[in-house]
Amino acid sequence: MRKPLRQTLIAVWALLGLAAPATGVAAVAIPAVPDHYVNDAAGLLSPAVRDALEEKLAQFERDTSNQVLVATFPDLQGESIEDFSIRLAEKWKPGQSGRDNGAILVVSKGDRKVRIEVGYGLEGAIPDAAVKAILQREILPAFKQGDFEGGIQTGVEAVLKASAGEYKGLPSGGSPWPVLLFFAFVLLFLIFFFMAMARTKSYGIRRSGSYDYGGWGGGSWGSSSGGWGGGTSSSGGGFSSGGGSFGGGGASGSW
Amino acid sequence: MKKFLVFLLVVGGIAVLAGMWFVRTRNQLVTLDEQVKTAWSQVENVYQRRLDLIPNLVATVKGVANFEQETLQKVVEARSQATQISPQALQGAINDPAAFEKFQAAQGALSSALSRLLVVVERYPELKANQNFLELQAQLEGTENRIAVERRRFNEVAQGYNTAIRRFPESLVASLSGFAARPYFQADPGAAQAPKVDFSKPVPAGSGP
Repeated sequence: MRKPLRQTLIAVWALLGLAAPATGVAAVAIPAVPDHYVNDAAGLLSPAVRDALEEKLAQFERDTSNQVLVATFPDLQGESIEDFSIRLAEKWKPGQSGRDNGAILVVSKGDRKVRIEVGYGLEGAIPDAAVKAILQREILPAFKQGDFEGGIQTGVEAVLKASAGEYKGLPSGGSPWPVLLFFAFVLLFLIFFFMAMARTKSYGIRRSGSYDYGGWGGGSWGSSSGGWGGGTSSSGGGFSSGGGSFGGGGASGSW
Repeated sequence: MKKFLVFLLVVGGIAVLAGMWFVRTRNQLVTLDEQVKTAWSQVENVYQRRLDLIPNLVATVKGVANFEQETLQKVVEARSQATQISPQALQGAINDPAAFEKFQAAQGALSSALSRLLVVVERYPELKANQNFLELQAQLEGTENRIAVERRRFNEVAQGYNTAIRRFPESLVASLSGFAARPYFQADPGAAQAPKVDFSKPVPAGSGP
């Protein structure tokens, strides 16, 4: 009964411009969570390069569970790239929840600014100084010459190399056997159970299969076992946010 | 007799409902308060991270011949001021606006001393080519950014909490249970203007210490 009232109050509050007096102005609206790893709003990449990067980042997630995104923007309408990119990271949340192993390469073409925002879980693998080095050695020299494609490609490559070290023992698609075996047992058990109950419809079996599946926290397993029992829809590709957290790690540069 | 019973039931029912509402609201406020405390400890962490970086930075800069002593001294002093605040006082700072103010002032002084140092550094090409220094500089920049992020998050959470305890009728619960408003971080007064550095002074060359 009080909920709608509160929502109305909040709406009125926001309309009056009274909300968030202490946090300053939020300029550019953050785009909705994308379903691609590469989001090139500034149009810096050719379709071929974009697709290749997309596939590379999808494969990287399958191998390591790290989620690395690329996002380019025409400009940020006066907002600093640091403020913008943390807001972007807070909304898109790349990286698996709990592991926080996400990163975003943010480029603002109009501001001539680039930043790599690093999630909590990757701060050890890619400390700020390493990000700075990647920017200065790989990305900025190319950008200075107008070679955005080359800069983004080598930059992403360097980020992948640096972050691959983390979570080496915990790849999402590396060794699925124990889990698959477990699910096989559960499935067998359920099949016997339902046969004993004299229910022949496969619907019930599948439902419970996907229920157990969901207990593993979605994202990280989704891509690795796309063909398994029809439980997931993400068949080898497409970004789906894992819910990683960020604390402002990374570095910025301008060209 | 029967009327009285109905009356008693209605009053009792209202009292139970009010009690339930009170407990629920109080628990919500406790949750919000805990969020403020968590955000505050994050703020403490990132400021501590900066304090931990400074000795290395100072040592590296000191190694450079004829580095402007005054600038370096100010950083060292500002750091020691900031470290004088005890961990207990730091933890209690969100309950005590004066302590909060003191914390913010000390860290603000350190911020401006550091930003001045980073500007002065531009005059020393030797430092700009020093790998160790460049790494520390990148770490320092990253830490400053983390500080900005955690301060903003703290303000957001504190704002949610402060709004909740002031809004009627929750304010009744808040005042009965002793929930006090939390302070906010203000923008640093010197943050908008760049530190002034006198570039007319020539860099002292030659004779090392």
